[in-house]
Amino acid sequence: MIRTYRVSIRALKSSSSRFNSRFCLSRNHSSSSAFSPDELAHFNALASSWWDANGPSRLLHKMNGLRTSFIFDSIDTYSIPQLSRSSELKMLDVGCGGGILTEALARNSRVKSITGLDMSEQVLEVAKKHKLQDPRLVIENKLQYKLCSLFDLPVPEVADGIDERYDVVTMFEVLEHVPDPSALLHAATNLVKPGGWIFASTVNRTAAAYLTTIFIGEEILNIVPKGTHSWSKYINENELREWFVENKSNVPGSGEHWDVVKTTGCLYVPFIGWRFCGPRDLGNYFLAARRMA
Amino acid sequence: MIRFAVTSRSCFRAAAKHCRPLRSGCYFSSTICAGGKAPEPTESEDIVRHTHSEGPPTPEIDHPNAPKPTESEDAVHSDRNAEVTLDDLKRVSKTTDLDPTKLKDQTKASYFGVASNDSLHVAGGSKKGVRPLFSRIQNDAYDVVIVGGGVSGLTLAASLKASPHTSALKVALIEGMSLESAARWDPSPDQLSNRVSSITPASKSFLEKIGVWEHVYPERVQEYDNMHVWDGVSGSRIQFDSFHLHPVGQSMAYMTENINLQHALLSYLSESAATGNSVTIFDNTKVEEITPTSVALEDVDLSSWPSVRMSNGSTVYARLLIGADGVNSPVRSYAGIESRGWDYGQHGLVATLTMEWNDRQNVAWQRFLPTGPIALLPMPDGKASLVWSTTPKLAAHLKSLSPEAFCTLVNAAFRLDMTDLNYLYTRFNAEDISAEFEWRDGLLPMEDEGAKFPLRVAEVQEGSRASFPLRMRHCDSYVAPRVALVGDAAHSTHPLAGQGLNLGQGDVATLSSVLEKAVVRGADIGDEVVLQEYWAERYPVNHVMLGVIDKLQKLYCTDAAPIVALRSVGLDVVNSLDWVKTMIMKQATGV
Repeated sequence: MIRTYRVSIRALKSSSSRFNSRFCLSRNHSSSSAFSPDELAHFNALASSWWDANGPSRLLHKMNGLRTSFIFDSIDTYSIPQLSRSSELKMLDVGCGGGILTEALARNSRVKSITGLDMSEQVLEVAKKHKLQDPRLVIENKLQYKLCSLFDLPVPEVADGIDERYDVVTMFEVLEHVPDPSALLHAATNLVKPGGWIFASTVNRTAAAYLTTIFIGEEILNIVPKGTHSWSKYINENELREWFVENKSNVPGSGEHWDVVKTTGCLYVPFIGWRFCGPRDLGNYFLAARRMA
Repeated sequence: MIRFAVTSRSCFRAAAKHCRPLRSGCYFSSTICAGGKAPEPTESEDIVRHTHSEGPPTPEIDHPNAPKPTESEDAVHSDRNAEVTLDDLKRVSKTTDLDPTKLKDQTKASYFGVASNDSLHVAGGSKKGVRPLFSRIQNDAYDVVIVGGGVSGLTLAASLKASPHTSALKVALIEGMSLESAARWDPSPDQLSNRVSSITPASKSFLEKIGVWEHVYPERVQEYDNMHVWDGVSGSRIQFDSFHLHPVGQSMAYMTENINLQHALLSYLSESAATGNSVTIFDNTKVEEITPTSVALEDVDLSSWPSVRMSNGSTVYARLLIGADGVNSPVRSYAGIESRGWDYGQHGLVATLTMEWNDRQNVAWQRFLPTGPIALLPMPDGKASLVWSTTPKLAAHLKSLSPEAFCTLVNAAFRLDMTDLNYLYTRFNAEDISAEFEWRDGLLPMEDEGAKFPLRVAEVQEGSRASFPLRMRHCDSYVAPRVALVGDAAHSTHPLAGQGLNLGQGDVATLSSVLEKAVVRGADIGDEVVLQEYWAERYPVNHVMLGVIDKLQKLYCTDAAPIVALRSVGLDVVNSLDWVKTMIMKQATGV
């Protein structure tokens, strides 16, 4: 507890540039460095109950509608027609877990193909098994799962005007579980074609977030499995936004340029459910970043 | 090429071809699934071999109508179109690998890849010793299977087809009775069905929204904007006028026969089928058994899907199973949902009456007798619908009386004191009852007779007297994984407030909007998390309404003096407060 507190003070003080330097360690990651063993163990333990609507992942299930709305609303509102066709989307879901979001996206008629990526073999087994419960997903065959680190995923080819990179990379509730979020974001941005999107969500590193997500959620109400979150790994909304400004704004050489078009706070209200409300820099938030070039 | 097969059992799709202009009465051609017998599937599209010799025995698909496993590789095919030939060629060449690229192009909102059989069964047909593929039972798999073809079930089917988001869902509806008479209903002006419901403005606007109300025969709908309710013991009364309604001038409720609604819903569905949005209706077909799906398939896992075995021998598989199957819901039993409540110890006696004049048709009347409330609700052309809640013994007595004696007793029940009424109950002879009533009625003060009592009943329509037990039931939950209950399957109530059908319509409106949202968001519509949203929204609303009706019923079911005194003071106070009456009306009309 005390240790957590100290770490957090340090983290709070760190400007966005320190957030970068702290996390921008190397580009040659082995797959083991993307995810720490104890995080892996934690999610392995959750595998069997992942799809239990009344089980430990209930909040995640309930959040799902908000996620898909956020993704497609952002695409519909902010897409640039010259850069992208928003009707045949090639998607990548990083940290797909049991496939709650991945399945929902795969059912959308605008999605051409989607790959769910996760580091836990047990959780992926659950995802693959659950997919079989929906004949539509099986027949359409748009959805695949891959046991693979994002760092090990080859960057799709770009040749002869055919860009095989992804239209959308989603990273929901991922950044706060990895040791090096900055590296993960770098890897993700490389996979996205111009006109494409990254959608991410995480939690602000605030006292309010500690109180709601960890103290009340995990300790008191027990609606979030214990050990799911560690407060020091939370990332503030402005840190994430500025990461894009500092690292992905007119990158010399590649001409790569990203815009954070939208961040939205969201809140779980008991008896009502998840709602887009509350300030974006308080608790949970979603982020939509668009690659312009 | 299988696209047709998917809906080939749809009597509506087939019927649509023969669809006569609206209101002509006949929407079903001879292809209606009469007797629940679905047309035989023409041929085996998907040839899957059952090889029992190796490995664990392959479970049989319990579907007598399903194509039987064929022994030879080159099965005989129906030549529905030329693609079949192409398919045969593929089969002969023993193409074994499943090419995913063929499967990408899919339909929009249906959860089934309708067009994909071709590729799938090529793979299935050429492999030996494997379990059958999903394509084998695809025709019998539905996104939504609705059990019950009453007003709630049909409304849900219609509302799913009405929304652009859910119209592509593959929907089946199973009804134990024949729906043909409702679909072909050709009403005669002087006959009214005794099964009548009060439609609140909220329910009406929902039916308008989904496009069903325009199919209702308007001349068989009677609206009213005035209601008199009084205490049979003390005479204390409350009167609701049109100015208590919001917006002022709208109707309090619309009285119509249930069959008018069913007919309208079936017309709507057949019209919708003509535009390609068909619902497969198995009428005259009983549900024999509901179980979790036990068919083991090679490529999918349907173990969480309910499978419904029907009396026509077929089985359907449901992504989402809807129980619109009434108080003793088999779907509810399957889901293991507990229903709680009590019987009122009363029977509701209904009858279709003709009043002495065709007048004052905008008023509904209800008098609370200690044995239960008696209500007279206006119907078109000087007719009225009676709902007399009373003891089972009295209900039986009233049904056994001659029509003349019965009419006299109805008049008496709205006018006489309890002592006089109780005496009349003991008489059997029509002339005797009539003479007793006239003498006692003559003793009553004549003031304001017209404003206080309904017109006298002149006749009761032959064969229209029927009674049914009254009870209050409410389910602990309306949902389970891949199951949702609507209408009477989820709750039933006393008819004194005319809310039964409307609570069901409210359920359907909420459920269809929840499902609509789920489809838009890409959720599995059978997912419990999705369905819980429906339950969370409807349960409190229904709970309050059931509670209020239950307390009213209990409050007025006694003639104990202190309670009568208290409730009379209460009613008088409420009657003097217009804003309270407006508030009550807002609740009762649902707006």
